[in-house]
This record gives sequence, structure tokens and C-alpha cells, in this order.
Amino acid sequence: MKWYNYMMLVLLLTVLQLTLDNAMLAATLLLTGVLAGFVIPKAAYTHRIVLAAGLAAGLLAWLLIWQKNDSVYIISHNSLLSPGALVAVTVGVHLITLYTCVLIPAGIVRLWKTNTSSQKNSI
Amino acid sequence: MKRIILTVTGLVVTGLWVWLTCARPGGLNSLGAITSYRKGLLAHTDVVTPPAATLTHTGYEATIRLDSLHIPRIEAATTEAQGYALGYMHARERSFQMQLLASMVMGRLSEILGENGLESDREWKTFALEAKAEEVLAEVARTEPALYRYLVAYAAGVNAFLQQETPLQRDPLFMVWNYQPRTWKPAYSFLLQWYLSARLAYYDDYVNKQELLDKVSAAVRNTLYPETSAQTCFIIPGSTPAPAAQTKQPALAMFQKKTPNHYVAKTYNKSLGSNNWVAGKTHTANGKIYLCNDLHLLATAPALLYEVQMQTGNQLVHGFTIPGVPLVVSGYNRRIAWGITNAGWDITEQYLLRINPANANQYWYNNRWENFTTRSFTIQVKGKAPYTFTEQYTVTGRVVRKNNIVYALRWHAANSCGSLQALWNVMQAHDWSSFRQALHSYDYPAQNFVYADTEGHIGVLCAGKMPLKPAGYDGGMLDGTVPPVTGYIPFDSLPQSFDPAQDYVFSANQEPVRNGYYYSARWFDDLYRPKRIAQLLQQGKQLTWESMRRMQLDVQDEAVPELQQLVKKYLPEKEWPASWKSWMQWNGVVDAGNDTTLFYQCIRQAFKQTGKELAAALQVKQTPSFDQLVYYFEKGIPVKDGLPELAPGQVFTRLVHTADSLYAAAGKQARQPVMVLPQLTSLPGLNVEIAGVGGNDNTINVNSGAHAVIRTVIEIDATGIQGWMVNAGGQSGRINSTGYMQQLNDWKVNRLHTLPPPSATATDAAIIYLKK
Repeated sequence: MKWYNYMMLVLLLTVLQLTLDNAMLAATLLLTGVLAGFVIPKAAYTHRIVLAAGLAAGLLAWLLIWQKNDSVYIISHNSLLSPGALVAVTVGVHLITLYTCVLIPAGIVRLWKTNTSSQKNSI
Repeated sequence: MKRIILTVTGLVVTGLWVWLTCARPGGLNSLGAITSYRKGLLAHTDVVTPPAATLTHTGYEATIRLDSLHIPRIEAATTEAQGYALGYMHARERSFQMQLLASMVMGRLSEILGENGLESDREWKTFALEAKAEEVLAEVARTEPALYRYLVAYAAGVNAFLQQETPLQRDPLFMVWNYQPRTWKPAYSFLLQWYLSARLAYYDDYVNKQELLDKVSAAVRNTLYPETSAQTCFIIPGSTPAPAAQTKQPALAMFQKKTPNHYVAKTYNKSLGSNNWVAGKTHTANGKIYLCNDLHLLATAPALLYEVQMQTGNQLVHGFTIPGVPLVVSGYNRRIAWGITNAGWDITEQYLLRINPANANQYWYNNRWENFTTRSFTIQVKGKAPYTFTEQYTVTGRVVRKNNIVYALRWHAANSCGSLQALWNVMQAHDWSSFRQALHSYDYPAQNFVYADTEGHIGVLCAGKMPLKPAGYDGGMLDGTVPPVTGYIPFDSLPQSFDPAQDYVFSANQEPVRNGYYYSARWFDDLYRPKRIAQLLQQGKQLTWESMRRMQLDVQDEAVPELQQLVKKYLPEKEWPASWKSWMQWNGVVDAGNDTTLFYQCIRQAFKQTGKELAAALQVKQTPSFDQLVYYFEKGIPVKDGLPELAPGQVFTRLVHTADSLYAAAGKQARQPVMVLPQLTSLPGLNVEIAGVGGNDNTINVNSGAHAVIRTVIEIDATGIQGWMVNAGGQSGRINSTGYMQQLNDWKVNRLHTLPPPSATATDAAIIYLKK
């Protein structure tokens, strides 16, 4: 995969997280994951998607702190939650969503795609 | 095979996570929604008002000036406009709290909290207060049209803000609970009166009291469970205790000696700790009158009250309101000042029923079997099917079947709602006569009102609608087989005093007076706060504004010297460890965090444990209070009731050992006591912790479960009135607002603020102009 395709995936994941909520986000990510499974070349697909998801989550964390700094600070001041905990919980949920909805479906597709290809080759 | 396992595992993990982030557990919004970047908790912003904002098409004209503490100073041409502006501000800062409390009283909490609200709804729904509120409003429209118009305008103000705010400006708790605010109706203001009545005057200890009356002789009750003593400091000056209650067989024999009591009573806290007092001009250094009030309520974040100053023409009122009710409960106008404490009168009644053994739908009443009447109720539960249930009623109230006991419940507070009308008139009162007249309609929850005016008069009036009880009634169950006593204590017979000779008045939830009427049987746990207040007010002509402020922070426990005497009395020869030696020299100032305070806390816990042991020995559930036990040890009369002798000396020695064990077990954490204020809907992580405040149930500054949510010091002389206030919870109820718990540090040291009049030039954080 070329570097710009890789960046496109990071951006796509970030935009999806910024704009969608809940079920819609999960469904779209699942679709992305399945497509990624078909599109991404066989070699080293895993670490690329892991990296893409990590970068997307990092971007989200940065946006949270940068753009929603007041909310993070005020809510943590008014409760027992620290600013770090607030951001970590939010980003954590998004990160796990990325991994479970993109990486795992992509992996499953790759798994079966590889299997089918090898079967064809053997025939 | 490996591929299949991996695929299935992957699908399960993904599916599980999708479910976890999309499911809405227990009425809450989904984890995905709460953490959503676009609409989640962190996406919500506080309501930020530009330095000068003009809102048009409001229907009313008013100017709202906000200071840095979010306190509004409202200036309006009419009272309706004033009400509209206050509604706008209440909704702006406390909309979720208002919706939550109103929904609770309507029996609609499950519409917000899902199944978590069902238990509360089952209780509230049976009083049918949503419909009752509309009836009360219709009655107010007829009898007090100005108040009706005011409430209508207030509701319009609330709704104007709700309609104007965007979803992301809304209190984030609406998002967290996935709930859209309902339109505020004028009648909803009455619901808040019932809410407070339930918080402050809804008891469930009658079965346990009846057990005590049935199983324990009057002599033992007078020793271990006294209801008054020579030390009682009544609210009405000059009152003296009546002779001890005559030994009398209880009217109901509900429990035999060996009958076990399985009744599980709901917990209540009568003695929350509120204080108010008025120091007359003969007691102050500058010849001015000081009226002080601190309202202690169960601690929550945010707290209940909201400060406001309002001016219409020459009428000015400043004080604390309850969001949802546009009326000042504690504050002042240009001529008078007032403050309140909870009276704790017994307005709940439980009538023991006799059920027909041949027909479970009949009860014995007035010499015949009567059929229960029934009513069905439906509760809407968020995310679930509606919940329908049926209740039975007798002529006295709803039938409660609990722990093998069947009784009819009558909660008088549900039957009328006149306190808003009273407070409306109090806000406009100008002297004692008009103040007293205003309180004629005050019903629930009963409150002890202290009063002062610019003419130099002071007074106290314990206002409320106190139901008459049968002769000899002593706090137990009532007989459900005979017609109930009807009627209420006449207003003129309520405890009241105007310009008493001592030139000060005060109340601290204690017994108001002994005037032949029954008010409650729970007085013997409030002896020491009144004693301390009286002591401080009797210091001669020395009181100042500063001494008033300091008095509200007072944590001197007047029980300590008495306990020190008891130790000397019962254990004169004992070789004491260092902890006791240091405590014996202690001055009784319950500061937070020092070892002596912690040790004293262990002694108080030992009292609780000893009370439980004594109650167990008597085979009853009701335990003697701390104050009752001190009285028992002081009198030193052995308790005999067909049981092994309970010699006070032996009991006291055991108590000392218990205190030692508790102190030895207390860890370092206990040395730094922290008061936890749970978030309004008990959401984890959103609690607030307060450390280093000191105090206990016996001190003016109580910080055990309840705390002084607000404090006021009001200075009065012939030239006018000025008030200083602090609100522990701050003005805003929004977790994402700078106004949330904003005054906590000021509150801890009682740093009070005052306000300029609404029309005066001041440094305002924002000004909102409401235009037609």
C-alpha cells in the first residue's frame, strides 16, 4: 500500500469517528474493515491497519484536548475524574471501536481470502 | 478449523463491543453516545453569555445582570416579567435538576432513569400529585390571581430558555440520560413543595415506636428513651418542659413481649442540622439586628438552592430560591428579613388495619367490615413496557402490606399545597402582622420561621399544618378500626413569639414548645445545638457581623463537657491511656483531622453501638439516641424490665472498651475525614469530595451526612437591610459549568458575599436584556 493510501485510511477513520455516532459509526467501520480486508495487500496488512487505527485515535485525542479543552478541564475540576481520565476513556472507547470494527473484520476477510486463494492455487 | 475458531472469536468480540457501545444500560445513554466526539459529554459546552446579550420576542422585558458567581440581579417593570426572567435563569442553570425533581413527584422518574426510577415512581404515583398540582393551580388562579400570573410567566421563562438552547448547550446530563426536557407547566412549581415535604417530613418509624410502647414499660422508656429533659431549650422563649409523660397503657397492643419485629423502616434524617437565629439590637455592638440562617440538607452535587436578587419598582427581594419555584425561601426585602429551619412535625400517619380473615379485601372499620377501594396506575418506563399496578385504599389512606404488617398510610402533605402562596405573600410582607398573615396559608413542610424588620422588631413563628392526634398519642401506630381524628392545630395556637424579653430568637430543629398539642416524639436528638446557640447569643452586647459569621462555622460540641464528667463519675480510678487523657483535657472543638476529634468520633460510634446493644437487650428495634444515652448515664438509674439489670456503670464501662477498640481499628484514612457529595443521579465519578470541614450532629456547623448548603447573615436597622450569603453548591447545576460548586472554597471558610442593588452600576460578567 502506498503511503498516501495509508494516510487516506487514517483520515477516513478519523473523519468517521468525528462525524458518526454509535450504531452508524460501528456499521460504517465494519464496512471499512471488510473493504480493507479485500483491498489491502496480503503482506503486513495487520500492522498497517493497527497503525492507522492508532494514528486516528491519536488524532482524535489531540482534537479533544485542543478543541474541547474547556469542557475537559471544567468537568474534571467539578468531579473526581482527572482530565487525563476523561480523555483516556473517550479515546479508549474510540480506539477499541477502531480495532474491533476495522481490524478484526479486515483480518477475517484476509483469513478467508488467503484460504480461498491457496485452495485455488492447489487446484 | 483454526480459521473457523478465529473467525467466530473475531465476530463475537466485534459484536460484543458494538453491543457494549450501542446498548443503553439502566436508562443511561450508550457508551458510544457519551464518548462521541460530536455529541458526547465533552462536546457539551457551558452556556456562555456575551457581555451584553439581547433576547427579543420574549413577551416580557427585564434586565438580568450576572456577576462572576453566576448570581443574577433581575430588574423588571412588573412582577410577571420578574418571574419570567427568573424562570429563564433557573432553566439556564438548573434545568436537569428541575426536570428530575418534578418528574420524581409526578411518578415519572422511570421516564428519565428507566427501571432505576421504578421504586420511587411506585411510591409517588399513588399520591396522584400531577393532577393535584393542576387542581391547586386552578384554585390559586381563583384566590391569588397575581401569584397565578407570576407562575405562568415563570413557566414561560423556563420554556423560553429550553426552546432557545441547542442540544449541545443543554445540560449534558440530558444527553447522559438520553432524555429530552419536557415543557414546564406552571403547576409544576407545586410539585417541588411535595418533594421537599417528602425529604423533610416523611417518617416511617411508627411500627418501631409502637413496639417500644408495647414491649417496654413506661419507667424504662422514661429512663432510656426520654422525650424531654430540664435541658431542653425550646424555640419559644420562656417555655418550660411539661411533667414526664404519665404511665399509660398504649392504645394498640400490636406486639407481645416475645413477638419479633420484622418491620424494615425506611431511613430518615429528621435532624439535618439547620439553624437560624436573630440577635436583637440589645445584643449587638453596633445596635443593629442580625438575622442568620444556614440550611442543612442532605449533601448532593449540585445542591438544591439558587441565589437571586430581584427588583420591581421599589420592591426588592434577595435570597435563596429552589429551582422550579420562583419564590425566596430564606432572604429579605426592603422592610423584613426571614430565615427557616425544618420543624420535623409528625405529618405522616400509619393506621393499623384489621383484615377480615374470611375476605382479604375487607377491613374492620367503625364496627363493620368495609371493602377496600382500588385504583390502578401506569408508569411509563424508558426502554421497557409500561408498568401497571393496583393499590387498595381505606378511608384513611393507601394500604401498605410490608413485613407481615398491614396499615393504611396517610401523608397529610399530599392533601394540600399552600406554602407557595404563603412565600409569595412573605416576599411582599412589610411588618410582623403582614408576615404572620402571609404564613396563615403555609402548610408543608412545617418550618420554623425567624423574623426581623427595620422597625427593630424580631420574632419566631413555627408555621405548618399540624394534624391533631388522639389524646395520649405518643408517636406509635394509630388505630385503623375507628374513624381518625380530624382537624389541625389552629394557626393562633402554633408556636410563635414576637419581641420576646430576651431579645433574641433561634431554632435548630428542636422542640418548639410544650403547649398541649402533639408535634413529634423525636425531639431528644437535638439538645446540644440549641444549647450552644443560646450560649453564644447570650454574650452581652458584643455580637458583631464577624461574630455572626464565625458562629455559623462553630464546631464546639456542648456534649463533651458532660461526657468528661461522666467518665470521672463512672471510672474515677481508672488508669487512662494517652488517648483518653488527651480527650479529657479537650475543649470539645470538633476540628477536622486531629487525633482527639477522631477519638471522639470513636466514642460517639461506641454510643451508637451501645444503643443497639441496649435495644437488643430490650428486644426492640428502636435504639436510644446519643442524647438519650447521655441523659441515661447522667441520671444513672438502672434499667429493669424483667431483664438482667442493666447498670449504667457496667454499660458505661463497656462503652469505654468499645470506643478503645474502635479507635485502635481506625486507620489513617479515618483521621482525614472526607465528606462525599453524591452526584444528583449518583453517576460514578461525578461525586464531589470535601475534606477538612469538621463538625458533627451536635455542633452548629454540622457536616455529617448533611451540610449547610447555604448560609446567610442579614444586617437590619432603621436605614435598611443588607444581606451576605454563600451557596456551597454554587449557582449552576451543570457539571460542565464554572458555576458548579463554585463557592465551595468560600463556603468552607464562610466567606460571604453581598450584592449591589440590581440597578446599581457594578462589574458584571454579563448582562441579558429581555425584549418584547
